[in-house]
Order: sequence, then C-alpha cells, then structure tokens
Amino acid sequence: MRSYLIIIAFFSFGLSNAQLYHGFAIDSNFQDKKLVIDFQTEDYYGTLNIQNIMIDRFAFGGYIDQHTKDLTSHKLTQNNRLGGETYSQITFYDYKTNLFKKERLGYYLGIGYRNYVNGNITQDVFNLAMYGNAPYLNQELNLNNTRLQNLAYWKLNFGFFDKKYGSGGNISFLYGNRFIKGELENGSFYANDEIVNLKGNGQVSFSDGSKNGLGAFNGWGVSVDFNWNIPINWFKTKAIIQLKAENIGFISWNKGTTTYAVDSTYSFYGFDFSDIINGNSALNNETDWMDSLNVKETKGNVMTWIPARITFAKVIDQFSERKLQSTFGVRMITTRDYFPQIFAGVYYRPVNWFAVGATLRYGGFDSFDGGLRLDFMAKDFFAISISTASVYGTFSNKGYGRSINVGIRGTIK
Amino acid sequence: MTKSVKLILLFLILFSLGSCKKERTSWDTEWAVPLAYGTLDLNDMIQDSIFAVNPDSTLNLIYTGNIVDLNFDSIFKIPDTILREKIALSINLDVPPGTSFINQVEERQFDIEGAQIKELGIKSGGATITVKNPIATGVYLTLTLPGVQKQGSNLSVTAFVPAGSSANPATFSLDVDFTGYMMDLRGANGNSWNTITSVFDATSDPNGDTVFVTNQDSITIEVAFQDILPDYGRGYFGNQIFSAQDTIDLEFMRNFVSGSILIDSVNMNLNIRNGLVVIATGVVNQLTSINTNYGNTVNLNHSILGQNININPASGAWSTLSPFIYPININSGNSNIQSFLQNLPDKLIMDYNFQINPLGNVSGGNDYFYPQSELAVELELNMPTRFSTSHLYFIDTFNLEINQNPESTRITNGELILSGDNYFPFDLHANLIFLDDQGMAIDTLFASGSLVAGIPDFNGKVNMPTFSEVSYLVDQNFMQVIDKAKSIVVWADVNNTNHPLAYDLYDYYSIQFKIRSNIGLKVEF
Repeated sequence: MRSYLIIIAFFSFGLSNAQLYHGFAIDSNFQDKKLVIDFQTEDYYGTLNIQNIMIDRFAFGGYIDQHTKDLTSHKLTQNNRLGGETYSQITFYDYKTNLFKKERLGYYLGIGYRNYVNGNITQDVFNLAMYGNAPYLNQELNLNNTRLQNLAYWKLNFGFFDKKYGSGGNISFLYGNRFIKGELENGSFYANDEIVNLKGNGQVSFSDGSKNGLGAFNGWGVSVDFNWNIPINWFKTKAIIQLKAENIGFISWNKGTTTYAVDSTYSFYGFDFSDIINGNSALNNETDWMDSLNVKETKGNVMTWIPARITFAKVIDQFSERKLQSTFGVRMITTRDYFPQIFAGVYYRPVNWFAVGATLRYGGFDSFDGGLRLDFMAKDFFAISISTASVYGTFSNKGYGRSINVGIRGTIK
Repeated sequence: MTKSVKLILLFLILFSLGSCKKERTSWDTEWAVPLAYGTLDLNDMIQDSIFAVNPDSTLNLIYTGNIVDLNFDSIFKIPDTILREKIALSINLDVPPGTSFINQVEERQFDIEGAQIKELGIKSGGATITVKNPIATGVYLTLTLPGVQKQGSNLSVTAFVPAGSSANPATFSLDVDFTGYMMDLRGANGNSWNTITSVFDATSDPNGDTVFVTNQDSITIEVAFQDILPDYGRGYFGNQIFSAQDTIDLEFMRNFVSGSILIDSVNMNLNIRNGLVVIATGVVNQLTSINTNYGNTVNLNHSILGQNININPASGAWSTLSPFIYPININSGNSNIQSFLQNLPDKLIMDYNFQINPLGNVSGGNDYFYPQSELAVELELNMPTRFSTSHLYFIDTFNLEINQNPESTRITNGELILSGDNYFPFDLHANLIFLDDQGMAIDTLFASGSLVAGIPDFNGKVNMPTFSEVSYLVDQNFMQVIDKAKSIVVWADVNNTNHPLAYDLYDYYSIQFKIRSNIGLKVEF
C-alpha cells in the first residue's frame, strides 16, 4: 500500500494544486476514522492583462501567430503582473493516535512539490520579445520593473491537528529543486540603424544549472504552516473563522548558485571589423561580452523567502446542518505581483453525498473571476473534490488565467 | 476490489489525464541591429605592403623582398662526419693505478666538397663521443680539441670508462654541444684545411689494480659530428656555380584575381646583393610574372637579362661588413614592366646562374662568410598608386562559424545592409560567397548594387566621399545551408567607370562602412 501511495504522489504533480476558496474546517465523515490519506493538487496561473490564448502557447506549446500577439499587446499596460503555481501534496492523517496523550490531537505526515512562478513585464518588454525591435526603431522601450521568479521545491512536513475543528500546524523541511530570480528595476532599450543602447540596473540569480530534474538538490530550507479554525456564532448558528498561514519559511540555495548583476549603459555599434578579421572580437569571447556590459558575476549561497500564503476567511463548516452556507474572506501571497484577493461565495449541500459551491473573487495575479466547486462524498470512506478558481478563464481562451484543483480523501484503515 | 485499490486506480486515471504531451512554443520576430563597422584603406586591401606618403598626399606602393637568397648553408655544407680513432700502447707493459699510459695526437679531415676551410664559427650542432675500453681496469679518457675554442678555452672532455675486456669492451657515450665554438681547421701545423686536431689522454683508474696492457689492447674513440651549422667561415670556398629557378610569392597581390589594371608608371629595382667576401659573377636569365588565377605569364624584357654581371666581394668584417650591391633598374622606359605588373602576378620566377670564385683561389684562401652574409637578389618595387581599373576582381577570405539549430531559435531570413562613404574613385561591388569545409561554394549573397565611387574633381582628386548603400537578401534556402559554411569569400569588383583614365590614390582615401541587419528570427523552445 505504501509503495502505491508513493507512486501516486510522484506522478500526480502534473495535476497540481488550487486556490481552494471553499476552505473546510474538517470533514465530519472522517472524524471517527483511524487513518486518512489526503491528496491535493492545485494548478493555476493568472495574469492581469495577458489572455489565455497567449499563455496556453507557453504552457502547452504551439505557434504564436500575429493575431495572438496583436490581441495581447493591445491589452497590455506598462505593468502586467502574472503568476501561478503547480502544487501537489499527499498527506497521511492519523486520527487514531492521541498526540501528546491528548484525545483531540492527531498528527499528519506529508510530502509535496511546489513549483511557483511570478513576474511582471511591461508592454514594451512583451513587444520586444514578440515582435523584435524592428517595429520600434528610434523609440526608447521601457523595461522598468521587469522581473521573473521561479521556485521549485519539495516539502516534507510533520504536523499536528485538532480532530474536531482541524486547527493545527506543521514544520516542513524544504528540499530546494530549482531557483531563478531576475529583476530589472530600471531599464530601457533603444535602437536605430547605427546603435543599440541598453540601460539596465538589475540582477539575475539561478541555481546550479548542471543539476536538473525533480531530484536535483540545490538548497535546503525550513517552513511552517499553521491553521487556526475558530468557531463563532453566526446569525443564530455556528460558523468557522479560519486564519491560515502557509509556507512561511526560507530556502538557502547552495554555493552553486550564480548571480549576475548589472548597472550600466551599453551601446553597441556592431563589431569592429578589424577585431573580427583579427579574431579578437567579443563575438567569440563570453568574458568580453560580460566586460562590455559591465556584468558582475558572483557564485555562492543565496537565501530566499518562499512566497507565503495567508488567508483570513469564514469557511465552510462541515458540522453544520444547514444546506446553504456562505463563505468570504481575503487572501494574500507575499510577492510583489500578487494583489490582495477578496472573495465571497455560497456552498450548497442538498444531500449528504454531494455539494456544490460558487464564489466571486477579485485580485490575485489576475483580477476578477468566479470559482466553482463540486464535492462528492461516499458515505464513510471516500471524498473527491474538483474545483476551479477561474471559471471563465478555465473554459475560455479570452480569460486571464486558469485553475484546476483536485482533492481526494479516503480512509485506508 | 478493496477501497484502497479503488483509490489508487482513481489517482492513476487522474494522472493519465494530466500527462498530455507538450508541443514546442514558437513565434516570429524581426530584428534590426548593427552588425559591424570599420574602415577599409589600401593597407587593409593590399597585405604586406607599405605605402609611402608623398608631399602632395599621394601614395607610393613600396615593396621589398628577396627572390634569390643564397646563404652559407646553400654554398657548402658541413656533412655529418664520424672521426674514429684506436689508441694503444706501442709495447706491452704493466700499468699501475693512476698512470697516464697513452697520450696521442691525431688529425682528421671533414669531407667538405670543393672548399678548403680554415676556420669555422659554429652556430649550432654538436657531437656524440663514444669510448670503448677493452682494458681490465677503468680508464679516465680526456679528449681535447686544441683548435676548437670558446672564450679562449679549448674544448676538452673527460670521461671515466669502466673496466672491460677484449671480448666485451666497456662503453661510454657523451653528447657535446659545439654551439658558439670557433674551429681552427688548419691542423696541428697550421698549413692544412678542413682538418681537426684531437689529443687523447688515457689514465688508469687510481682506485683500480695494476693491469697488464698489450699493444693489442686498443681504446676505440668515436666522435660523431651532427648537424653542424656554421655562421662564420674563412678559407677558399671553391669555384661553385649555382643555377636555379626560384619563386617568390607576392602576397600583396594575391587578392587580385582578374580584371585589368592600367598602371601609370613603375620603378622597380633588382638589387644583386653580395654579402660574401668572395668574388662572384651572375646572370639573370629570365624573370617571369605569373598570375596563377588566370594562368597568365609575362616575361620581363630588359637589356640586362642574359648578360654576365661581375659581382664584387663585400667589404669590411663582422659588424662592419658592407655588402656589394649591383642595382638593375627596371622602369617603363627600359622594359615592359607595366604589362609585367598589369598581369597581376601573385608569383615571380627568376631563372639565374651565380658563380663564386670564377677565377679560382685568387684570395689566397681568404674568402670570408659572416653571420649576416648572403648572396641575394632583392626585388624593390616603388610605384605611384596611380592607376585605373576595369572590373578588377579582388578577393579575401575569412573564417566563419555559424551554428544554427533548426529545432531551436534561429534566423529564418533577412537582409544585410552595407552602407559606406567611399573616397576611392572606383565603384566597389562585393558579393559574398560561402564555402564549406572542402572549399566548395554552397551559396552566394549577391549585392544589390555597388558602393559608388567618390567623384574626382578636375585634378582627379576625390575631396568628398560618396555615400551609398547596398543590400544582400538572405532567404530561407540560404539559412538552411549556412551551418555548413566554414569560410566566406568577399569577391569584389573594383571598377573605374572612367576607365582608362588613371587616378592617383591619396593617403586619406578609405571606405568607412557599416553593416546592419534586418533579420527574421524564429524563437522556438
């Protein structure tokens, strides 16, 4: 059984993890069970102004034609945030054991993989990358605040939880897999027939590129999660207020991490013909390029805070006898490119084995969209949840993000 | 089916749905970037040449190079020579330890054909000395060459050879470097030549036993001279004749491959330079201009050709040595030098005879050769750069390495634009030929036009450059073969639209050029 679960966990990362707007306090169906296995994947991305038709080409491949480029370019402003993540986690909950000899405390063990990306591009950066510089000769292109961050890491966690309301916390060991972070705080690009001018003030760091694949170890770190579910009275009934903080921690990327920093203005007039014919051209020499651009290279440890996710919300109470419940709250991911998100919705459980939820939200990496959740619960051993936080985006090329989340929970003993 | 198995199956189904294969992402972009800039003047176009600026800023092309170059090694050689001696007692006797029992002087001759050398300075080379000892005690053998000196000291070598036997003599070898030595080859009495004198001394091992040595116990000594290269010689160098056809490559002309050029006036000297202190005579039988690209040859017509020339010896010695120079002036008035050069030769062939000591040993054995001595024929060209061209084709080749992965980001098509300010009064139309690693043309980029000539004033002088622009279209077919290109040949047509009107070239004439590109780049990953 154990080997099956490891295999499942490994191969499930393609499904990945979601912004579950319908937070749950605890599922009462499992409360009396002994061991529970829980599998969650969350895949989403969102952009402020770049439509899915463009993002899909990057995510799934294909040729980006002129129409797609034009469509996207016209919608861009000078700041266009984007972000997303894929996250998969498999967790064993032990309801049988009384942790610290306290009847209400159980413990859990989990393993997950998180691949996170966020960034910001200007319209000019997009145009330069998509069209080239030929349409923009004699114009100064704005590269300010262009940035991209990508973190991928494994997370091994051990935690405790309250068997009744699901409050709890964990500490996680983080196994750094990949790290890229680049930022151009101030930058511009100008070209005409005779010169290319590049101004830049920024840096880029990346983990050891010689170690690739899911097993590559490029750093380590620690994080904590905690989840505080508070029962309150809510219009003559009970409700649960949840304060949840996830991924509060850091990774120290190892000594193979390379950082290039640049703060210079570089003008390129072409290669000096006499250098070319004498074989002295910077064309042939990486060091000369670096010197010309005044790029400083360093190698060594780099510490990064991982993007934390903080949620404060009224969540669904699984103990409630009410068929219709409301949920609302606010969520934040601690990166510059995530706009604090507010959401509100309803959750309807007409029968014990089925529930549906719907939300509206504003903020995040994109802006406005709706969420939808379907829950199926077999009587006492199995539940599956499929949800999206971007109904419009997930089903339309004109949306600004996509989201698909799958959760499966079952008893194994 | 248990609950757990059902759960696992569900996970696997979900996984299979999520593992769709991803295509490559790609899009097309257009980039306009400067590629190169530079200035081409005459020094760039005509390699290995030196231009002299005249007071009126016009240029003269000056070229010097040796067509014939006879040095000491060409005149005679010191052959690798082995001097072998057997030294022995004249009687049989007991030799106590530490006794010098043989002391012998020997002379041997180098086999130097036709020459009687009295002194040699050694530039490089050496000898291997091998000693074989059949005596039943160790022997200290000292070899001294009294006439071979460096800084006043004789060359002397001492070697210890262990005890041996007649059946199995002990052997010892030693390499000696002769660099920097002066060799007196007059022999022990000072009246010989090509003769080296050696002194052998054999002393028994002071720590050995007394041994009985017979007159049959010969110590064999072999001195093998190897690669002796002198840089000084005195003696009679013999009456020798040197006949040959020597070739000189005119590197500065190799880039001109075809077309015609009208040269206004030429002044060329052939200087016969004798740095030997030896009387000589010479005959230049023929001088031929060869254009290897066309296969055309033009023989020079000049009255000196075929005539015997007396060549005096050089004067002075060592640092004061002054070669004798016999100049032969060749100009437009006394020869066909214009058509000779208008053939655009990249090679010259000279057929000649030189004879040293034609009258025999009139110096009394006092011919000299010094380190800087040579018997040479020097070509000295000094011509005004005043000419006209009619479709003169100029080529130059550069190495090229372009790696494009057709599955990755790559250039798909585009245009190279060459713009230039041209001072030269000639149009320049340059096509670019791309060659593979076998030197075969794989594609050509044709210029859309010419860099237009500067416009001469009524004195034939260009005061302002003419700006013009030409382009080269790069199509997809070209980009598909560019990976194979290993070199690029610039094939330029230099044309005077006012041909045959000749123009002077001035020191400020140049083409200031820029190359920029408009390229289609397909980004793919």
